[in-house]
Amino acid sequence: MTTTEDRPAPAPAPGGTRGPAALLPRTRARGVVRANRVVLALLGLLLAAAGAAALAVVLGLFGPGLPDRPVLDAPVGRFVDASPWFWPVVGVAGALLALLCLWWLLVQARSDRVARLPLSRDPRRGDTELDAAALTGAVEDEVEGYRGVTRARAGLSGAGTAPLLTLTVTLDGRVDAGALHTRVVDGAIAHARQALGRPDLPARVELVLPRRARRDVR
Amino acid sequence: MRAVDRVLAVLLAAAGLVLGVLVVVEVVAAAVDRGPVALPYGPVAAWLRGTPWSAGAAVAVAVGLLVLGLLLLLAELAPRRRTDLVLTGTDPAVTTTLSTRSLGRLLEVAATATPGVERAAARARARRARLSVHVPLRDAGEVARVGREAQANATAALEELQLRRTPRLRVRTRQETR
Repeated sequence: MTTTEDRPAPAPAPGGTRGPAALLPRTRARGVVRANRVVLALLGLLLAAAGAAALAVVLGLFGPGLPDRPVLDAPVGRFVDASPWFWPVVGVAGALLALLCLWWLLVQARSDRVARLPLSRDPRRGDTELDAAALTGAVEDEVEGYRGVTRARAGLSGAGTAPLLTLTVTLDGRVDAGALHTRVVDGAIAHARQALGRPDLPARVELVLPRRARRDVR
Repeated sequence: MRAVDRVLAVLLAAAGLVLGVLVVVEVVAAAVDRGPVALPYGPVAAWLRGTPWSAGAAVAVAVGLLVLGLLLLLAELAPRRRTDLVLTGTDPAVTTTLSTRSLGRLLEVAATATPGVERAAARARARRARLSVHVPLRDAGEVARVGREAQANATAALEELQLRRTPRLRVRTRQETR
């Protein structure tokens, strides 16, 4: 037996309802994501165009006799033999391809992670900086101490002068996620703001409930 | 898709880097009258000289290129789905999200906490969530009661989240007699 019931969506909560209802997953390198998308789309376009052109030759759209001629025809060979610049140009194209691919490979490691935060700058006494790991480690320790949390990972991204605190909290499913959200904001994030002297430090918190939630007793 | 893009980017960039370097090496080697160093371009050129455009292999390669290119193009041009649902909060500087996958698990946990429910499977999107509850009982009335209770628990869990827009919940109760 199977029964199906539909429950209408409840009315939205009164506070904090402005803004989008859903966001794209967070990334540490928005530029890299965009670059990958553009390069792969261009590559797809190139492959599709090559395939379509080859099929057009097969269908005789470029001439009735062409489908029966070899893919690497004699005129092509004669053109290559008669053009002394051909192979050097191929070599340069190969070098350009290698350089572009090297750049593409290297940008995959790019991230907007902030490693140090400037706390004060004084020309006479010197600059004071805070190691970001000290702050994020403290935030992780505090959140991992909350009941219902199995793991917390914090990071600072953006610019050193305008950082964004990112926090991924893995839940065990025992505690109401809404209540935990309030506790994280009022506790760990408030403490991080206090430590940095930035009461308006923006934060993005990601709550995660894994498929097989660990149920450690705290 | 973003992770797939990243993996594809690393593989293709590495392959392109190796190919580019090999092309330069082969061009230089050919210029000083040395044979193929690593790329077997001789047999490939011979095959291309002996294969007409209408040959099955050439057509298969053309179709493969077209299909692969179109798939890649469509995958990259398709708009990305917003899968992180935003929770309402009092602090405007804090954005808290829960992925649709995690929401599905939350609903499953809430449903399986109901006495009489053996297992539950949920699939959530930004606008709607589907929950399938499996009840191993013979009495149809009892199954319906357990299903309603599981639905109430899942709805309560969903409402407690206080999402900016709560997805519409659809619950299906399945009777599984052993």
